[in-house]
Amino acid sequence: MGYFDFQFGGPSGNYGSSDNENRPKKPKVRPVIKTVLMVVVVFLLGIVLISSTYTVKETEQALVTTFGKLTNVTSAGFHFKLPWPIQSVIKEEVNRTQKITIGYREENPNENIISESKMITGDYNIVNVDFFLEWKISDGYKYVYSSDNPEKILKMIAQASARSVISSKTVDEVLTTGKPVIQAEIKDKIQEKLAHYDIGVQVLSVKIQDSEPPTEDIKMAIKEVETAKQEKETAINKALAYANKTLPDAQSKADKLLREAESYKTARINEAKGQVAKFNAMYDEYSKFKDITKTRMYLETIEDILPGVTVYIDTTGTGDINKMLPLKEFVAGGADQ
Amino acid sequence: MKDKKLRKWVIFVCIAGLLLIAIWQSTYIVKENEYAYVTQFQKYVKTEDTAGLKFRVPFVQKVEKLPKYSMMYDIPPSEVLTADKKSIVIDNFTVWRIDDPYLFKKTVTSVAEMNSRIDAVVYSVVKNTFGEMQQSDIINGNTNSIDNVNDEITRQVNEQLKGYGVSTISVEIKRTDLPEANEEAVYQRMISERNQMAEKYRADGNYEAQKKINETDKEVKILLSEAEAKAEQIKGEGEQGYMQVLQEAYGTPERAEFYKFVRSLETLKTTIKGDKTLILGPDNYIVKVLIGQE
Repeated sequence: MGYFDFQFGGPSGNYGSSDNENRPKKPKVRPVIKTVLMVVVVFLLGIVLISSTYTVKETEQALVTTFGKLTNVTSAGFHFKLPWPIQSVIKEEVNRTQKITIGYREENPNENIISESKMITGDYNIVNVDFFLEWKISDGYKYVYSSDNPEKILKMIAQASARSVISSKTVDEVLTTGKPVIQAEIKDKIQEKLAHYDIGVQVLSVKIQDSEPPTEDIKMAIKEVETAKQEKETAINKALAYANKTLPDAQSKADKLLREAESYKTARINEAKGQVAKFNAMYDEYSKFKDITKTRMYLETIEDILPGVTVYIDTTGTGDINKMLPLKEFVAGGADQ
Repeated sequence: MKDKKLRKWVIFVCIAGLLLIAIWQSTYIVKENEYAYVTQFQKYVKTEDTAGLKFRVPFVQKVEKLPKYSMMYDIPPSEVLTADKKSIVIDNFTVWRIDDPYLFKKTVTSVAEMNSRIDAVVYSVVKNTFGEMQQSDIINGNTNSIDNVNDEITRQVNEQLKGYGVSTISVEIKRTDLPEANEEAVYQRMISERNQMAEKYRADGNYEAQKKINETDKEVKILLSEAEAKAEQIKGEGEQGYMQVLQEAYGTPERAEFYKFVRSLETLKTTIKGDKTLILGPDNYIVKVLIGQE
């Protein structure tokens, strides 16, 4: 209090002395001091009043300390406390979800921070992985008191965890299919480490923004692999198309062969049946007059075949050609020709 | 009158001031995250490690605050050699805290000085640890290997820093990088690996396509030859049926003989026809008829 008096006394004294010449000295000093004192008292009361109240936002939690010792924790609203220097308040945004970006900055998402994003995979490749984590304060007391910079420690842990997880994956997992698993594993890893550090923060989620090959040449080479994959599929599909066309063709050909054979079989049996029917009919006739029929059939055949045929008859039965009669002339019509 | 009143005021103010100084000198506040290190004429008296308003002997005892919280020290990256003479850039950080303020003040004076000691200790531990490992022990697709390295380094660093009244919560590698020259080699290898993969896909595609085609051709051949065999069999059955039917008809010797006769005539019809010469013996029926013997 005395300290304040002196400070405010200084300028007021000067003010008084500047008015010395025009006005009488004594009646003037007392009111001036009184005014100054009033001002000081009002000022101090103001400070006391202001430092006796505080408001806490919805997102916040307030830690109230009495002579440095934590005595109360309050949530959103208007609150009273004992004035400074007895009680003071530390407000922390315990309910707000906060974000840490690694490998890029929120202000300029396209610019890569290589020192943060470059990682070595388990199969000894290099990739650039950008990610962010969402976190919040899980314990306001620990967040404030247990470390010098929880957010920075969290960022370090996140980097260490990401590298540790990425170093257990293949480059293909990192660049393409493995992202969800990797995110989950990084989150678990961070959570596990946070349990050890115990700095009052918790991780809500880890998301990989970008995982890219480090150079353009490698990007091209990877694209080339994709193209080759497509080419492989195309070649296989073409072969399948060939199979799909050729097999039915062959089946129809095979079917044709079978049907033809079957028809041949039936035809052949029918042919036999026909012959048998014919033979049976002939045999029926034959069995009635065996000799006559036989001779008739023989003669009918001879009639049928002998015209046009030159016949020699060997009456001697010796086979001597000189004794043979040409029969041709005897045959009707045959002599003229 | 007025001077007396003024003097009273001055005395009051002076007393109030002195009282304040006395209070200020005999009390101090320890926060939740602080240690208070109390000395008397430069000599250690006690450490206060609980928060709140504390008392001391005015003007005689001095209080210094030390952090009770964990501190993170981000160590600059350093290049180390593995046992197989590969160099790796290691970037790590240390989280530590003061456990024993007395020992700490006795051996190191400030946090900044402590950091430089941590720097030296961590560097030598990291260098020794990696110097005994193969590069493949570190980069090998196994998450646990890095964790184990971290744990081992932390243990050793902690061992060495214990004497300073400090405990090491952890030393972690947040980054392992290859020196730039090696990186270029890795890039080249990545490209060649990809090229080889692309070639393999293409070759695999051709192989599988050809395999499918061959398979198809084989199936077609088998299908057709089976069909042919089956067809021949069916045809044979036809022949068999043909003969069976005929056999039934020519079952008796008389029928067989008649059949022979008829069939012979048919053969004559088809073979002796047209411009041919025939020599007939005298016993031939038609010759007999001709001669008049019949």
